[in-house]
Amino acid sequence: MGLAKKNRNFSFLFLLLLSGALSQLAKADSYCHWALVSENGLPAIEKPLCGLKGDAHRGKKIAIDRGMGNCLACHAMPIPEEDFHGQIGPPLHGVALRYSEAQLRARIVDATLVNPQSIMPGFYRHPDKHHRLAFRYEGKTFLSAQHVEDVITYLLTFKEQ
Amino acid sequence: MKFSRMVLGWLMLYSMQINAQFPDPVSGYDFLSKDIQEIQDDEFLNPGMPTVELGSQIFTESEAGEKSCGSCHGEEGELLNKNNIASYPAYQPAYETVHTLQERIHACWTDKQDRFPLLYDDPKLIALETFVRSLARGTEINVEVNEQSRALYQQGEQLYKKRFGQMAMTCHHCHVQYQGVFMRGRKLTQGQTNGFPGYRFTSDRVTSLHRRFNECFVELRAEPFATGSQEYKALEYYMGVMSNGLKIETPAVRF
Repeated sequence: MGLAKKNRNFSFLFLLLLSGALSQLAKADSYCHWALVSENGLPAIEKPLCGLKGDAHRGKKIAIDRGMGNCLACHAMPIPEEDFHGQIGPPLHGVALRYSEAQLRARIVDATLVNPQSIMPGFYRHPDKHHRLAFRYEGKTFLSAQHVEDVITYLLTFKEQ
Repeated sequence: MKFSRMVLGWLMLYSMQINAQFPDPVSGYDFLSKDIQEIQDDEFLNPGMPTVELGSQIFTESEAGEKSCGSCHGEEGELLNKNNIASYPAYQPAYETVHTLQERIHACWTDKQDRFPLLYDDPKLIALETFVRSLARGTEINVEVNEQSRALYQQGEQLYKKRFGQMAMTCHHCHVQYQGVFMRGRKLTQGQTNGFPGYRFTSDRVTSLHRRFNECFVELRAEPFATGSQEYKALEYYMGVMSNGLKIETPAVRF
């Protein structure tokens, strides 16, 4: 009885370790690599991240949410119903007229590809490229590949200046 | 044509480097609304005053047979030189290193009063620092850099312009390049040090400069340095020079 109980404890521990190791593996594998190309002289990433398809409705939520994309912190957007539009970056009105989907993807994945001095966070920069990343964000990108694609799809609806 | 344009570009870059040293300093006070400014100015409304009071008590306390701070500097600190208080962080020839005001107080605490050492940002030290710095309210900050301390200053400058965390922003981005600009609901200030230690509504306590650094690092999703670390001292030193000319407001009231 005592022995059986002990064994059960060990198996529990083993499962815990295994799940930890698996989640680590998943973390390392989950980053989708992308290829940078030049499109009309501007950096661009042609293929969708991980081959995912974006959803504009979800993209809007992510762009507004302070804990996610928070695009509104720095950019004015054509959504007057929201308060406090930021003034740091250029307004996003008509951004789909100025940039192609591939160019937008490069800007959101890592704005320093376009301007090395940019203040804009790289929303899909490789986690290893950050300096002194806080422990809880280790191995994570700012947004998931799916969320980046959602935001791009949403931005492509901004067709009025 | 191409060559002359290049020369012009270099000239512009060169002149920018000279001018872009520091912006004209503006206190965080000027970014506040009128009612918050009134809270800071009113001795009875200012939520930082109890900490000043606590500091003034510790200033006169002594362990049996030992001196208190007040034994040498006056019971109300009246013998302290205000310009000297406003010159910290300052190079200390006796220790051959730069001391922040808090370290200077702690050096007195351990060496002159022979008391048990305290950790950096101990509540007692924050109270003492708040009290001592509040004595120099209205005095212009005059932090100096000399031959021996230049290395620390340069380290501070490097840290100020280094990207940290998942946000990958530098101090310089928000507090120099985009100062006065709205980031969502907040207007970015210059992040000057003249109000610290100061009361902050967001943490509801008197916050030391190093704890404020910690909060900035957390916002950047970066791993903070330790309070009292060489890195934070370097930052405090560099930012002290940036704040030169501003009047001390400790305890300031900020968000």
